Amino acid sequence: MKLAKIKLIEQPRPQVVLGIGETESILGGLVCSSYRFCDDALKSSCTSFDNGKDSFCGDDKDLSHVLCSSHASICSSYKGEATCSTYSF
Amino acid sequence: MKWSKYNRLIKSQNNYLLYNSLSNSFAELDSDTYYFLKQFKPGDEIEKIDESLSLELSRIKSIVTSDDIELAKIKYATLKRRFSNGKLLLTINPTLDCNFRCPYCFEGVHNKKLVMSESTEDKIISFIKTSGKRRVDITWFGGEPLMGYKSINRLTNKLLALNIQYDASIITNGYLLSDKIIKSLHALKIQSLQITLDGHADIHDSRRCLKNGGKTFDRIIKNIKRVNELSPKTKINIRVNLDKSNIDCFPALYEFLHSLNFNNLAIFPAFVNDSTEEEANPCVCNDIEQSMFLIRLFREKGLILHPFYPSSLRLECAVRNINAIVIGPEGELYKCWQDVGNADKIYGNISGIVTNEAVLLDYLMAGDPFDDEECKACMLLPICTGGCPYERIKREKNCGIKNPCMLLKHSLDEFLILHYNSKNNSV
Repeated sequence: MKLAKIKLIEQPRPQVVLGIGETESILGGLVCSSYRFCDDALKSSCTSFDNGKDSFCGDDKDLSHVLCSSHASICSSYKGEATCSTYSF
Repeated sequence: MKWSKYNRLIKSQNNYLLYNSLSNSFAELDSDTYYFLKQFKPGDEIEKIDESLSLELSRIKSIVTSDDIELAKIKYATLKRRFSNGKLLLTINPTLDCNFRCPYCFEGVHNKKLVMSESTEDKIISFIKTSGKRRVDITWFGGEPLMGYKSINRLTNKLLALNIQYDASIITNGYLLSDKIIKSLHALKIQSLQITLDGHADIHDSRRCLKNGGKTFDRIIKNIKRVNELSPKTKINIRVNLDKSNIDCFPALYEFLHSLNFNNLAIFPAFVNDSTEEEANPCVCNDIEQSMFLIRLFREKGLILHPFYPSSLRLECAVRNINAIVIGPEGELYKCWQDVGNADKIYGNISGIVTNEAVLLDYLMAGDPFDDEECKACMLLPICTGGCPYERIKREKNCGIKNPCMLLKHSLDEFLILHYNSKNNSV
């Protein structure tokens, strides 16, 4: 059966990749009534600090990519969005 | 490959949408694809479909080999973060004293006059040294932490002498932010301030007054302006505690703060919870009321102050990690900010002695969403952090009824459609 397209509005987040020798994942926290503490790595990788955005972070859609590409030390084998070992990052 | 139980197909007017919580992806479909996929139930084998469609559905986890394996991977990633051991995340209360008397304050009965001694400060430094951690994040909390400014100053200098990676933030009512303190923020490594405003002057002053009932709004605003002038790189998060009595005042406060045009200022609403045993305070907004408020803000003002779309980050509360510690002014240890001042929730002391294993173990492991049958059946578990552990543990022990679920759950389709519309600028 031939079907038409899917147009992605939000890209899938990086996958959990099970591997040997993964690096330390970073600690984040969600503290009380939607106040989100991002990890330092996350804070420093955010390019904007705008009203209406998720606490310290810029646009969600860029977050996983920005973090992975800026902070390779937390990923064991970053080669693209789908290879980050630390799931959310 | 099987149709995932974590799919949600939504039809909105002439738009056909597919959300998947395993990958947290969102797609627009054409009508033929929508109705084709609509026929499948979770677990159904998907056969005889176009290869490119199959690849795309697989990439966004709408078709999977096994939902159980996918969920197990998410659990693994969560546990890995819980047991990460890279840094200390300390919340330090130099005092529980406060110059305000807010009627909704959760902090219990305690010795409010107590300020941290230099001996306790030294024990904190010894504790950090002994931990071997080379990275420490501190949140200064209280009471009003600036009433213990001397202690903050001394402790910071001792921390900096350790030559470790160190950052700090502070949660303050903003009243005591003098020029001297503002100028010291950089040296104290304080990168962000959280200041609470509960509305414009009259409303704020009726809720967040001095001990003697005095007004505070004008002075806090003056101090915020001085932070912007003297320390423009310091981020200022304005928290607005909302309940039914002040919720309608939020847009005016937002517009006022927005008009200041400060690049370092962010504003977020925080709904007041009832943390008493009864959990029946009529002023508190329930989940539906909170959702409706957020939707109204978007429709009427174009504001998105709480994301309509789930975050990809899935950050669980830091209390689940052994290295996240709340330190009281006498060096007593708590896990959660909510417990500060509650003697029953002290689990140890800064000398490294655990005095109440049950409290510590509860925060580390009790109320786990991956052990909760309701959570395991929920399609949002892959993107939900399980909500507030404090509430989850209370509920597990049958002394709380508050629903810990994410706000999104109760209006998922509506929130997703709003997100779709906001992306397409068709509010």
